[in-house]
Amino acid sequence: MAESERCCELLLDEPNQVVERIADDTFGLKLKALRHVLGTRVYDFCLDFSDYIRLASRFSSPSWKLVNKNLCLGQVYLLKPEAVGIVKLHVEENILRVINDTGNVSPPQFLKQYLAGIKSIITVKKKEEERVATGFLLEALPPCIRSIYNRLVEGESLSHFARFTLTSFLLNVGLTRREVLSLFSRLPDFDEHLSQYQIEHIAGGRGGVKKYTSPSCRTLQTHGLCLRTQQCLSVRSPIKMYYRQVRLTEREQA
Amino acid sequence: MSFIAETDLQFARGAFRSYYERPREQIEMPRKIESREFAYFVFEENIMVRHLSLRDANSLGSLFTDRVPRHAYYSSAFFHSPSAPMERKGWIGAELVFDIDADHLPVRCKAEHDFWLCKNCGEHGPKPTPKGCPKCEGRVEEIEWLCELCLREARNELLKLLDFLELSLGIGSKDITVNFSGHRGYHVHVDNDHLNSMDQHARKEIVDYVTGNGLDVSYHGLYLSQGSSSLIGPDYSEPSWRGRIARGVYDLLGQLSDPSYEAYFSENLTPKTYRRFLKRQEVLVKLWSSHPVWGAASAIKPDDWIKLAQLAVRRQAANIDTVVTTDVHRLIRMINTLHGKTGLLGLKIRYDQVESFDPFRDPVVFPDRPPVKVKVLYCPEFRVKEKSYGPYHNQVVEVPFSTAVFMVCKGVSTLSSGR
Repeated sequence: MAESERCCELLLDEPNQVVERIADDTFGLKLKALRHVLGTRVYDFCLDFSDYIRLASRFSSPSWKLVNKNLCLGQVYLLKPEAVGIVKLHVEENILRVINDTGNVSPPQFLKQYLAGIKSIITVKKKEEERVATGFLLEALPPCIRSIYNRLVEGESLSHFARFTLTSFLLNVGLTRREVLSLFSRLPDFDEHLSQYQIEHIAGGRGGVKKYTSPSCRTLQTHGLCLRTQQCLSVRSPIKMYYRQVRLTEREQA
Repeated sequence: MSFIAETDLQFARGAFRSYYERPREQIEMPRKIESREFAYFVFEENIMVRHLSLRDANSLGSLFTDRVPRHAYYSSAFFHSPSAPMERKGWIGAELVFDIDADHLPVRCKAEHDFWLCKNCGEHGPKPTPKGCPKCEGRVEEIEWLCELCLREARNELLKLLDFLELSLGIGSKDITVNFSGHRGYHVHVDNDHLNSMDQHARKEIVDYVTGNGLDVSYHGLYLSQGSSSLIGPDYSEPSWRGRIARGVYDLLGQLSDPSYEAYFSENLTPKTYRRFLKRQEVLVKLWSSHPVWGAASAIKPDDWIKLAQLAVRRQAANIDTVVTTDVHRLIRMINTLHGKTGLLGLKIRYDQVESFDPFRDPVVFPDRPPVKVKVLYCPEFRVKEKSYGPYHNQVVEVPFSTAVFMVCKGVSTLSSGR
């Protein structure tokens, strides 16, 4: 948003103590100005890690991940541009809150035609995905799901999370509950009653619980199930990767 | 896991009941008890009774003496209505919990002591588990055994985790509770009002931090200096992952020529990289003894150092069960309650006694007397308190009561009729 960008530019020119004061007074953000030398780097600010995680989660670059930050006694050390980037997110949040609090805000006339264009693109994309969801193509499985699938077919024991990942994925790409159950019957510790219960739960069939979505790439990374390859490119979810592969295969066959 | 005979189930249940009826025995009272969900398994059925809510210490005590749970759990989460169905409970927050389980550790002994056992004839063997006993076609069951090495490894992981929690995340020991799981690992609870409100995403970031998942060493001070090819890297004394990487590399350099690590290095480094380090190991250890000398030995390429640093990250990371920590609705074993698979107590461990904790002695709560005669189908060697037992195969032995409870709960022994 332009307003937060402008705020960011202005803050970069302010002394660190002023940035600290504005962050606290305006946004209640406990950003602390300091001078902290680590190796060849001089850090300008620190921030409590729980505040940092909440805000930095909106950045996708690996450099923003907590694991790639210098974290000591609960404080994340930041360079000035990083600290200002965090403040910028706060500005964005505040602007959005004000807009939401205002109620139904209609976009200006000149924007409406662009928004209509974007909406129609999204609708076409969604329809495309729904169309491919009617079939199941084994060759289009992304490497992570393929690996769990192969282990299952070979009757290897799978962790609870691997079972959940595979089940939610297969249900979301159109396999029926019965088809998924029959796959799991290959496991040495297969318990039909329990498996059926769990599949129905994931499919959203019990107690009005919603259907579970399949875990994202980021979640699979955390749980050690991601097998990212060149083929995955910048995809963020195995489902998206699957649909992309299905479309490619269809085009090749056409 | 099941008992071999009905009399074994009654024996174990009676032992559990006598423990829970002891007036001085204290089950750890969870904070905000009225906001927790409780759950348990009874001895008679393999069904979890859940969505229970308890008001106070009295109702908690009654649950144990009346129902005698084989396993007892409470939610790490706090709810507005803990006894309501899941979607109507109203999540308020959740403790940050960590589970370190020997099952998830790459210990070599696992293949040696986890086995399948025929509950009919005592035939046994390593995994994979057959559908039925190859000798008598009887029912076979997988048995996960406890061994000193596994639990020592689990404790090492626990110590690494506590180091991350205290030194990196700045969590004070007053907010941390450590307990033995009662089986093959340890649990850590962080109960802090500020952190309890963290969502699943925030918890994932913490998991990634302590496991080193997604860590790029270049963000931790290890990189090629601009304009030259010299490698710059962190020092031992630096905080956070920086110091861990430096210390981890030094540890690895010291282990390069140790024959017991040969397979480890061969699996994790390319043969060329391994050879290059191995050839210069003595010099490198000397050079690194007071402070890290990144890029020492010109024959070793910067890429090799980076690979060794990446290996150090994996070594320094705490090996936790990632699913447990990211689950904000987790049911977890109640502290200071008995584990139905062992009869050992999920004992709360004083923070300053984690290193000296003995999982084969400290959580044994049953008396030695009277001795009990049991028929052991099969079990590997094990220790209870200071005494070692086994291995046994299809033989009747007389053991202390506490040992009998362990063997019966493990499903490897049945009470001998001559008891």
